[in-house]
Amino acid sequence: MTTFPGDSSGPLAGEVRLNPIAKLILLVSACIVALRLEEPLYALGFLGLVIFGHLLARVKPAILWRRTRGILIFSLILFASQILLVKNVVWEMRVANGALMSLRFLNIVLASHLFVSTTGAENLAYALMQAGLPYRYGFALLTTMRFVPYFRLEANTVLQAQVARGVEVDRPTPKAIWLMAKHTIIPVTVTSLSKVDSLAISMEGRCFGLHPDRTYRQRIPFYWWDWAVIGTGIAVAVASFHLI
Amino acid sequence: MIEISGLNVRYYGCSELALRDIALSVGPGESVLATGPSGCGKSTLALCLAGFIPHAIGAEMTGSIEVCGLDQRESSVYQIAQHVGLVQQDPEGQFCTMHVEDEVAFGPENLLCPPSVVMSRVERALSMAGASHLRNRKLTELSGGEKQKVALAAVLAMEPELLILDEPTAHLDPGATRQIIELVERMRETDAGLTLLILEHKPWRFRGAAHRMVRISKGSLLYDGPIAGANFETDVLHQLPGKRRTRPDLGERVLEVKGLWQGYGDRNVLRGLDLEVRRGEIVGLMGYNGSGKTTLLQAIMGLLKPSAGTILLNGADISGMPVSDRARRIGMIFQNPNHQLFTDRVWREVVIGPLCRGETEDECRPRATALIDRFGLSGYCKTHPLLLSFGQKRRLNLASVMVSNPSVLLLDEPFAGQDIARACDLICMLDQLAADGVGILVVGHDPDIMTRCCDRILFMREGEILIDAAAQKVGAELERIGEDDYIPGRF
Repeated sequence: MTTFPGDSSGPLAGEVRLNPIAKLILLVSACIVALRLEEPLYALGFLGLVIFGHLLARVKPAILWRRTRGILIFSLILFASQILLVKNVVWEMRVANGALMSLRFLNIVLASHLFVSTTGAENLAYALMQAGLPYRYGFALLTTMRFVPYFRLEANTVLQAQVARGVEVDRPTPKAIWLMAKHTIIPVTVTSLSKVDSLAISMEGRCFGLHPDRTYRQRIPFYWWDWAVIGTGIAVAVASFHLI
Repeated sequence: MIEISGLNVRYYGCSELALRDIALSVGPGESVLATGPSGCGKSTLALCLAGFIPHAIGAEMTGSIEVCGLDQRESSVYQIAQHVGLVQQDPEGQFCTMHVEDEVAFGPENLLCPPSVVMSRVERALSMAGASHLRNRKLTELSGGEKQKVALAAVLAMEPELLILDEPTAHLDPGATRQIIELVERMRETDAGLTLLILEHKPWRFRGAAHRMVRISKGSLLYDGPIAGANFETDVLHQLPGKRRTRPDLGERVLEVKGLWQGYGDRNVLRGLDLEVRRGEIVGLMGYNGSGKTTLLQAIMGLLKPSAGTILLNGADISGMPVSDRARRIGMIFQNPNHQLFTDRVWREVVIGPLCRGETEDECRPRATALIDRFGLSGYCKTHPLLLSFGQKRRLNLASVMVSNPSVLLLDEPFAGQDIARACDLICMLDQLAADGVGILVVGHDPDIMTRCCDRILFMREGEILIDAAAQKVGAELERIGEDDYIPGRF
């Protein structure tokens, strides 16, 4: 999942309008509340709120559907398995438990989806570093995020090379899948290590790690509404322990 | 600026010296071009000058080396980094952020420069690198040439006194290569205080950017003199085999592509493309990055499913044939040889394809043994493929593909970043395979190598073939359509 700049520009989306840390705290609070809710009806209401959050952030419904349809199918399987597989419990209870479990799952996943759709990894890392996270850890997060697509591309090339040598992915057997996985690890590791060497030289060659601190050309601002969102998020999470 | 005397470097675990008895003196503001074949020690010299050897990379170093008044052995990498900037071959591996401006600001921020100073350094560096228009772009959206400009700007933002460019055009197409060469020439003219060391195995490309040339071979300095007196052009280019002639005895068509359409989402990458390859013919495919060359190879191999069109192999339609079946008839070689090395023994690497398709080791043993002998790998059957040299890995790639006895061989940019000696080695192997009747389709960027390797050249632009001409005549055709960067002998 990646951020779509321009796709979302509502109050939750504009990265200049809500600090990534405020969004992160809001996400943690939302997950706590989602886990604390014990009534399927409330959980459904919460789901409505999360979807409203997507609308507020102007995440396009087509994108939301494309990215989450697998999750929806999985939550339906979760619901069905509770009804069909749980024994010695009355029918209504099984439905209620199944609904609660799948709604909790959906709420957490969709809240996380809202977060990653509206927050760039780079902005989050810079915000965390500027809030006090040691910059070495911040850049560890950044470089990891940066290399994910690259490693995916490398793995894809290696898989293509195997297919071109006759590994039968078009008629997959357990043996072919096992061989494919085994034969992917070595080439991807080798090419990745050479990239890591190159990156280390590049970063040290630009004095990364020279001082215990560093400056930032641009600060990610904290406005009053960020504090309001953080306060509300924490208050709701705490309240969920007392009221539910 | 640089004072080196009696420098010897040996990597831990290696018996051979990577650099031997190097003596070099470079004054402030000089531009020096260091050349030599791959593995001659150019990059090792760069790593010594930037302080990574001996501080970060395990190697034994003797002799003396002083850069910007700093003794490399006594000074830390960080102290040296404030005076020496190193731009590596592959820009992709050098970036640690997501956006151009953040990447260029990275160095000054690490030096604790105040934001206003960071911004002025960013602006100056982007302007020097001709990349001001890229400042708000994401790094992932940039082309290869643009990435190299940003990598250069990121190093220039550190305001180095010595700038080392380690084969900066190795992974670029001719258009981007020309831009980088022009940029370096401009930098030399405008920034008289900057000392430049350009490491390049195709030295004629940078003849306008340097005052002086040094040639390194097997770790030793062979030539050190003014660039005007250097005889590099004939010295290097003559190694390439002579131009191939279109052979009158070419066989029947082995591969025919008719009206091929292929797209990604809404974008059509191949637009009704037609081509043919005859038995024993080597056909070259040139064109800018993104013109559809790799997509075409992938579609022929069956790794992509074209939206329309027909692919005929030896006259039979294979458009609907599964990839695993095509792999018995078509071989494909990828750009990076490591991508195609999966197993822990050379022998297993050669037989893995047939074994995956259900053959027994006994059935494929005679073919595999013959190929291992033919490609000069018979002494390495039990060696781990990753321990082979680059040239041996490439030979192993060919052996492991040819074991299926394909009638067509597809090669995706096998010459990228390769020096002339390695290119010659591969051209000779392809010549032998073509003489055996294999039809070969090879993607490449280097016009000099491609015209010497191929019988016929196709030039692609935006998914269409604009030129289909004999290798000897392709230069004139390219000139006619204004693709000067691809004309042989231009770079």
